[in-house]
Amino acid sequence: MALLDLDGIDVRYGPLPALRDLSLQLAEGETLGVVGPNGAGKTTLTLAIAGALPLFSGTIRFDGRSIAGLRTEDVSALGLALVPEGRRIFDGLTVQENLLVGMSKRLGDRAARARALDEMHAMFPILAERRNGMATRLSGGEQQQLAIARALLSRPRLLILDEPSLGLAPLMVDKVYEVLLALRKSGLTILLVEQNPMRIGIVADRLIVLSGGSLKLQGPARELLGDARLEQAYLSGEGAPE
Amino acid sequence: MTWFVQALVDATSIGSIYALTALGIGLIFGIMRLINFAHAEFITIAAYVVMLTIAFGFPVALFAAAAGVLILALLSERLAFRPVRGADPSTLLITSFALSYLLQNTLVLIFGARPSGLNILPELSQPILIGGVRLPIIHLVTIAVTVLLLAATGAFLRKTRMGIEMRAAAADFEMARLLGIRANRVIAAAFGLSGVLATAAAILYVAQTGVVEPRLGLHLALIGFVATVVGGMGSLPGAVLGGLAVGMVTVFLQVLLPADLRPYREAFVYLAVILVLVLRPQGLFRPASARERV
Repeated sequence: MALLDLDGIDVRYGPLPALRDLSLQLAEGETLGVVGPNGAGKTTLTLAIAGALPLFSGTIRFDGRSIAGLRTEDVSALGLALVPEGRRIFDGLTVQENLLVGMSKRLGDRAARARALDEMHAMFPILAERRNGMATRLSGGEQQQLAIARALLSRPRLLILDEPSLGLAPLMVDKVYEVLLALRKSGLTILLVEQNPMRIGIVADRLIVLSGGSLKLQGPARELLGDARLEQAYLSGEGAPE
Repeated sequence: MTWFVQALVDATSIGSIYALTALGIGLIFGIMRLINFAHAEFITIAAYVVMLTIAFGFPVALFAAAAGVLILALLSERLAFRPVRGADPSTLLITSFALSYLLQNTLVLIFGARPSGLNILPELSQPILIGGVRLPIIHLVTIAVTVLLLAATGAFLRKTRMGIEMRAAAADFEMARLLGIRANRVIAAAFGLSGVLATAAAILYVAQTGVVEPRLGLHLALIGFVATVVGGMGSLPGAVLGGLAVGMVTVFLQVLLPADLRPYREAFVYLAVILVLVLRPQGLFRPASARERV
């Protein structure tokens, strides 16, 4: 059974369709890459799965349970975490406080929470070093690490990342992808959105191509990346609001 | 010099009450983007509860007022504001106006529109002499209680899990929910805290004026709103400093204006407010998180 199962979902902003009749499945332990031109509906997709946008029609199942219409926080409690576009680090909170907000009850008792925090500090040493500094003072790449650590602290079963490499220096992108590879190796199920499909092949098992709010192509990442139709999908992107 | 110290203590004392009011209003605005006009009635009702229970002694009255307003704040969140949460700001604003009018007119129905005298702690109205300056004890108590309450609120917001969640929700409500923060719990906590602050402001204010009437809170809340705007909407330290600033300007205008201009003091206060808004429309202490979100 698929861990995540979208069946014919439509999302609209007022009268404007942003996603049309989109279906996709994601198996446990799989890494799915979602690519597509600007305005294809990629961010809308991530927000709809995370419960932050209502569906106009269709269903979303997570681990066999329908999650459409659930409150955002209840979707999160089921084990679904989002690293959103633009990172959305809490302004006015320290690095450590940002991490605390991400910690969920699913981690267990106080000792288990402390261990989880130590793990994040080991994975992202800069977050330990700057723990008492204001989070918005971190560089873009450091903030991205914080956003990923914050999401991981909810001990998710599915991690959704929306353009984690956007606006980062190449070295930082390497670091982010290094982390994603490690997470994939650990068996975490990942849905990774990127506008630029070049790097995504490093981590994704399978790719889907969105354009104009609907699914244009899908297949194994290695095959699709060499496919001329991929470029075609980008060029023909009609652009729906994200 | 004596007059200056006296005016400074007066100003800090009245500014403290404004600061507590502004903080209560700012807390709710920060998280919900709701300007809660019913905060005025939270204050007024606290004063009436004190009036009704003061016969049993001050500690009982204090507890009854705090508990009563806490429950009122939680109920108004649950019954009035939760159903319209997520609606556009004007809907929220009109809801808060409606609740405010409902509560205010209920008070008029029960207690009448005329003011009643209420002497909470008569011993506090005595002045004491410090270095040749006569200072009413109540002013010093007001300042001390405010400092304590602000420190306690600050510690709650920085040191407790709920406080950190409230600050996160104020910075980016949707992101906080995406991380599993329970919106209902955080908002209820903010309303509860705002109710407690309203009680404190009510008691300190009535202890100074000795009068209770159905529109008592309106005056304070109006200044509270002005203070949050001057301080920078969305900034809690800004709300507190804004409250203090309005108190300072009010008292010093009273002292410094020529006698025939004194009746127009409020006009000068609002002139100063307009000046701040023209020169710094974002307020004096506005944080980056309060910027318009897209």
